[in-house]
Amino acid sequence: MSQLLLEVKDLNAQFSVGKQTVTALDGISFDIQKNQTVGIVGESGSGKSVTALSIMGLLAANGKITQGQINYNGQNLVGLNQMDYRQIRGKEIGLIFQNPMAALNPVFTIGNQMIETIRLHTQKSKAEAQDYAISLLTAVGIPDPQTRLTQYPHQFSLGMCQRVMIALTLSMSPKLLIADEPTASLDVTIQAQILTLLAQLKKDTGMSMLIISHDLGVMAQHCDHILVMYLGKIVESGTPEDIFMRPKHPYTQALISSIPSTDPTKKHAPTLLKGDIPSPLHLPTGCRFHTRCPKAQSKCTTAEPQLQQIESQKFACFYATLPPL
Amino acid sequence: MTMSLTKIAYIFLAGMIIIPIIVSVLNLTNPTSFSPLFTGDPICPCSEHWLGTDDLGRDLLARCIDGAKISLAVGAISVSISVGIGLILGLISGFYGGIIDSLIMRFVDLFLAIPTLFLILIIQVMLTPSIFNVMAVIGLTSWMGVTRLVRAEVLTAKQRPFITAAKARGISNTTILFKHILPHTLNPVIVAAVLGMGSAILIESTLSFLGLGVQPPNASWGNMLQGSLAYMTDAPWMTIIPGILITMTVLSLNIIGDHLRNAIFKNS
Amino acid sequence: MIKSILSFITMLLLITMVSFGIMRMAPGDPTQQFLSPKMGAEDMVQIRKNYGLDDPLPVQYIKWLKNVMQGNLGYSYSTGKPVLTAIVERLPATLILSITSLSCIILIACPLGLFSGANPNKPFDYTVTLLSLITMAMPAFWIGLMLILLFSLKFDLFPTSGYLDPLMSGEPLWRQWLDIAHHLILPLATTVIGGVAGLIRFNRFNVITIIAQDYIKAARARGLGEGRILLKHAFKNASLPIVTILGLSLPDLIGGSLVIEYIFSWPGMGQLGIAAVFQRDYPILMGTVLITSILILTGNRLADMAYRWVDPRIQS
Repeated sequence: MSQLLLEVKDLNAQFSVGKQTVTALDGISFDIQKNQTVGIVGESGSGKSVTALSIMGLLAANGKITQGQINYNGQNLVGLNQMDYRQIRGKEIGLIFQNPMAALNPVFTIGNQMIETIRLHTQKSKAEAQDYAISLLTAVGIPDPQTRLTQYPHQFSLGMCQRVMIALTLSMSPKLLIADEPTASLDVTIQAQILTLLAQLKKDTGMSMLIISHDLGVMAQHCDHILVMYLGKIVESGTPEDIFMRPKHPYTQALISSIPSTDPTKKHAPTLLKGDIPSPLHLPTGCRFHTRCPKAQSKCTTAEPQLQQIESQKFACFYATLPPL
Repeated sequence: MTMSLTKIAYIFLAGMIIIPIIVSVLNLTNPTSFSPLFTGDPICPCSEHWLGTDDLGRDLLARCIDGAKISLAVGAISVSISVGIGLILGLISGFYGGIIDSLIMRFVDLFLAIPTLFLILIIQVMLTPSIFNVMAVIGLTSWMGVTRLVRAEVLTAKQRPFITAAKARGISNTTILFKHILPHTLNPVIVAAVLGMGSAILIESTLSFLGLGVQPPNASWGNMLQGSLAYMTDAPWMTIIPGILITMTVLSLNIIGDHLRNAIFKNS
Repeated sequence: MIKSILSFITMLLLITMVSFGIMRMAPGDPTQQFLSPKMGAEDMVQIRKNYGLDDPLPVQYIKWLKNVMQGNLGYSYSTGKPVLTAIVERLPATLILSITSLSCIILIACPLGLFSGANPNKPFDYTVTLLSLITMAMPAFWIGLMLILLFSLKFDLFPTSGYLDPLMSGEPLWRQWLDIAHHLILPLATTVIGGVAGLIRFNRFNVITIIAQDYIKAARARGLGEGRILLKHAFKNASLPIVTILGLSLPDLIGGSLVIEYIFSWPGMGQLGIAAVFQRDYPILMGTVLITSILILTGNRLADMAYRWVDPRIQS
């Protein structure tokens, strides 16, 4: 039986901003296996969130998938009509957001929102749904769930809100959970708790996860496979060991070098990239990274490097084999 | 589609301003003379009188153009008064804060709680209505919104670092207020002025309709409507046409105001 | 709570003081209307003394206030009737018009605003926006005139004025009510046409903002359908600010009723007020200002309280 859950092939997504068109995703391809955690790392504007929204079919009104396939269990989701997509959303693929409190409707109680979702996807009665909700809240570690159901989102802390979001998503038992910056707005200690919770749930339910983050530390600990994105393209991918021990793309190398080490003897010398990330409206010619790349040569301004593969690692750079900086 | 509607609005308003000026400068029409065709009943629209005549035989088109002058003038001047008051109060209230701010805001709340029309009516009945006190009264009762708007802008601008920097350089408060903060308030004020002019025209037409605004024989669309009451069955055009003109003018102003507001919003 | 009551009373006092001052300061002598050839100069002086018109302004005000606290709002200059009676007589008609207008405005504006906001820049939205802009630009009194022109004079469907046909006085109550309703249609339509646009635009803007929120996206991500999202989630979030805006538009609504009652000879407080303005009937005017202000301030307070009660984020 195939272990392949989600296959993204050559995905292109564009947004129309006024009279101009911005290409947010340019030829993205990756796989997610069953019970696997894939991580996407990159700066803002790299297209990570757009990838998540594309998979869910939730691009904004001015966004469109212009090319490519998203094969979930063999079914192509691109171009699927809304009625059919509603069967996928939540039940098969779930999504949790960066700001958990903003993701909950402030004028309805948690109980109302949870029971609504539960009854939408199951045949439970109101009372059964309520019991189920209580058990879910307990499973994600929220104390006194009975009272909590009657409360409103603003009465929860951010960390608790994220737990509630996770409980909500769990209630539908999705096979794939996409977490878009799940811990970005949380305190460091809470971050660890949430990530541990997610890892535990993955183990218990066998679901796959797609974690999107700009935080490499999160990637290192929880992912089986990591993708590095820059300006709409995947520039490198591999196992955590590949990425952290043997980064090949200069962008990845710069990211890795910026992680402070806990070893006091090691000198922390981050590679400083010059300039700012270019606007997606005016993409650089050739290799998109050349404007900031310390290794850039003349070839980089005219030709776009394709992904090459060495064992489990892929990277798109002409000069990757040069010694690391 | 909204873009072309906006263009129509600008063109209409420009026409409303330019045509009456040209017409009166060149003396093309005579709004006070009586039509040679008049036999005692208002004449309906025909080739000699495009919009017909009123109950005294005066050409309606001429009167409407005359009315345009007055309605627009009243609108413009009332709005200038209310914006002037609102700007000053808003600047002071927002900049100096404290007791002055509370006092001014209380004042604003007070005026907002009184039904404006009622107040205006009461005042107008006390004075002898004329074009001038109409403008003054409308101006003196419509400044509240502008005050709040300006005050909000000032409060935001006050927090900006460049203001603190200016203070640190020893620049006087008055200079800061008028040279540095005032320009930031102008954008929303212009929008408020355009929209306020529409509202002023509506109030003036209501006052004139009730006999408390522009007095005959001066033509204002509002008092033309008052005159049309007795002839609603016989000469409906007397009621329909001035009203349409008021609506189209205020509509143009509202569309232009919205357009300006969106344009500012995009730039900020 | 006490603070709220205090500010209510202060506002009321201030409004009445300002109105009183404005009225008394105006040129023009209300005693003119009592003039008759039979009166001499001493009679005029006596009349002025009777009405206390020679006292200094603050004294006059205090006297008025004292009377009000005892329930005496004075006597009309033109009819001699007690002001309170005159106003109370008129209150039902105004309330009928105001309450039905408000209800109709809400019932029409909420769905229109909701669907416009949910599908912005589509044909439905364009039509609604255009119609709103046009009706906002029409003078309220002219809307009334046009409706009369069309439905009363041309088609003879509705009466042009009044409240109840005097011929109906012997008829059973339900027929009288039906006749009142018949008379109500045109003034109601005038108020609603003039007032609905503002609420539609407000609602539409709110709905657009709400639909852009994360929690709507999250709801979609859970598989909730657009219908449920719009009619349950967006609707509830959008209805909260409507409560406050209603409170804020009370002064305009009451002011607008002045002109509409005048045009349709609808026997409400507005018509009384306008007649009093023309007749310089100060006691009636002060009484009307007092009652109107009380209604407006109470309405504001109720709207405020209702908002607190309805929005779970505000814990009192």
